[in-house]
Amino acid sequence: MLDEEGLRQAVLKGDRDSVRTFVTAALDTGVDAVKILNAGLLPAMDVVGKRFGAKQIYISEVLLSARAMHAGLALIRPALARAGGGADTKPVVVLGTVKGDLHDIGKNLVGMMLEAGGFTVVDLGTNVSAQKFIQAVNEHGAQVVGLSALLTTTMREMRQTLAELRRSAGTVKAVIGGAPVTQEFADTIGADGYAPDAASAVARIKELVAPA
Amino acid sequence: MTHKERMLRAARGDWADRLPFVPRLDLWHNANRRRGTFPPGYGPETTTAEIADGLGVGHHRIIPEFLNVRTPDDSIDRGLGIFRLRGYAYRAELQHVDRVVRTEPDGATIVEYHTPVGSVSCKITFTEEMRESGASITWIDEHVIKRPEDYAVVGSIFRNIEVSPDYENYRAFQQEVGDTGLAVAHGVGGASPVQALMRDLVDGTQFYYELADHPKEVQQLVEDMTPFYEQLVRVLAASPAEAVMIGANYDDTITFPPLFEEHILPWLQRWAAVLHASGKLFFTHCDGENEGLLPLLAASGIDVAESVCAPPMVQCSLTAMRQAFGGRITIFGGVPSVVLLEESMTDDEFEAHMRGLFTEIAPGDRFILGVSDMVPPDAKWHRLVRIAEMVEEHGTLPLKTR
Ligand code: B1M
Repeated sequence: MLDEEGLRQAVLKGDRDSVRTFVTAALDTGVDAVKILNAGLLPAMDVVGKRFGAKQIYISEVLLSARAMHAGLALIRPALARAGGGADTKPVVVLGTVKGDLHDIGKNLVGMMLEAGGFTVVDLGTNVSAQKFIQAVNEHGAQVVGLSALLTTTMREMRQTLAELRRSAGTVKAVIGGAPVTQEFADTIGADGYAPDAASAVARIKELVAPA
Repeated sequence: MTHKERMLRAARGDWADRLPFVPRLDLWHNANRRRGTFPPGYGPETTTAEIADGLGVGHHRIIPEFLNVRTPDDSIDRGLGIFRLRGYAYRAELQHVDRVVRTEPDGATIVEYHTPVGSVSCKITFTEEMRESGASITWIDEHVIKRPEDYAVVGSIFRNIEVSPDYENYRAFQQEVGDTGLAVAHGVGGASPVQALMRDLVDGTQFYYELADHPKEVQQLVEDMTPFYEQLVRVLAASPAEAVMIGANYDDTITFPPLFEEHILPWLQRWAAVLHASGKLFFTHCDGENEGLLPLLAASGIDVAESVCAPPMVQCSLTAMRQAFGGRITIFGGVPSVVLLEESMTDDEFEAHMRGLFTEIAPGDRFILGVSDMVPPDAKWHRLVRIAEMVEEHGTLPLKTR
């Protein structure tokens, strides 16, 4: 049996141990892993994202919830893979802070929210060159690449990276964000999407990967 | 009035004759010197002091030049948040620590600290890309605290740090700055032990897990670091400096209000009391999003909120900040660095932005105009000149409310 409300509350509280207990109990009683994901873990993180976007909770709560959600995900991953519809078929997002820029707190948050939103995230870290983005996109068959920049100087690097991605990484969609980045800038450099915060990054990327 | 007098008056809440304008030029200077792109009339050896003088503005000597080291020792303990730079009014020496330093093939520096209670290490980098992007400080790639056991080692290092006055070093800096600006005595970037943990001792994202997972270790570290902080602030309070800077990079997302209130505010208040008892002005570097922190900053006891950014780079308006500060704290900053960039706005938009800014901050009490966080490497020179001209033309205090 799945205590959906209990599991959701445990994720909301960032309580890893309780998440593990609820998920284990559900798996032990034969609950489908996809149900655990879709009825418990993902909706809870959706609430977390919305509350953070609305400034009702703080960054530490988001990170703890994301970690708790991951603890649950780790337990259901084998079953999801067996079911064939789960982990392995999630859309892949390659994420990184562009070359010259080392700010990573916002990018990390975006990564966690994306994972919580059902994406597989390949986080390349900070100071990532165009070449590394291209390599990772090709290697992981990513549908989306997410570029973060916090410095005006490195926003320019986004333009460069995007141009090189366009040349060498096929049809990958590019989403950009970070404090100095705007929709206008995204339009100027031809990015497919812009998001001002982590929650809207997830929403925007979901739109981009949704079948037309 | 000299630039220094203007700054001091504004910082103390007195009227200066004119709005002080003190843009931070060091990164712009470094980048343009390297590229050979100084404005016409300035030779390759031009200093920031000469640029400031040429513009007729105050010389920004508020933030140390972290990369400008005399010997490697000046910045070798960067992983602990400790520097011994030119102009510092104190020296922090580690005791009972065996420090082993090596350079990796990629140029990164590994610093190991061996103490009687165990060892920790960190990795510091500074790359060409960082230099080009305008970074003015090295980066901690691996932090000293990586495992719960590391807390005790770091705690022991801090318990054994001896802080002593280095007033001659500071006086030389003060003399060099003279009346061109205010020579602020720098303390440390973390206003409190927990902020130091967040900024320097653990990874910035991991920090939030540390608070949740290892509260006892964090609490013990706070206790272990307290004597270091107390010595430091005592030495700064007794220094020949008029103004002292402690704490940097608050932001209402990363140092969110409850965290700030619990782990930073009481320490700022404590330092304010010690510094004020010795007649010192207390500066702190508020370069992030301040919107959610306004009431807390207002209660912190600081005299100057330095490097204050304004929309469009942040949400918090200067009006909201001035209201929250109620004439008790001086705002230093106000010009968001992006307005100096050609690609951000047209010259007309820039002029309109600056006119709006002058109106917004009128009558101009408790204000030092600056560029936040700094003049960017690609700033349009003419715009800097224009701000200086506007200050000259319209900056007589009190500013006209129009
Ligand atoms: C893929 O799609 C997406 C979509 C959305 C995306 C996205 C990607 N990425 C982010 N988002 C969005 O979602 C996130 C969550 O909602 C948000 O992410 P943010 O990253 O915006 O928000 C985070 C959750 C919280 N915010 C932050 O983490 C940044 C806060 C501020 C105060 C800041 C901090 C903390 C730091 N800094 Co830096 N720093 C500042 C910042 C002030 C500001 N106003 O932003 C800023 C960004 N810094 C600046 C500067 C100048 C610098 N910093 C530097 C260093 C640092 C610290 C080490 C001290 C620290 C970084 C710690 C870390 N590990 O990241 C240096 C650069 C080093 C380098 N090469 O990168 C240095 C150059 C300073 C120096 N003197 O060396 C300024 C940039 C100015 C400019 N426009 O160019 C700055 C705006 C401060 C200011 N007031 O001027 C959204 O933007």
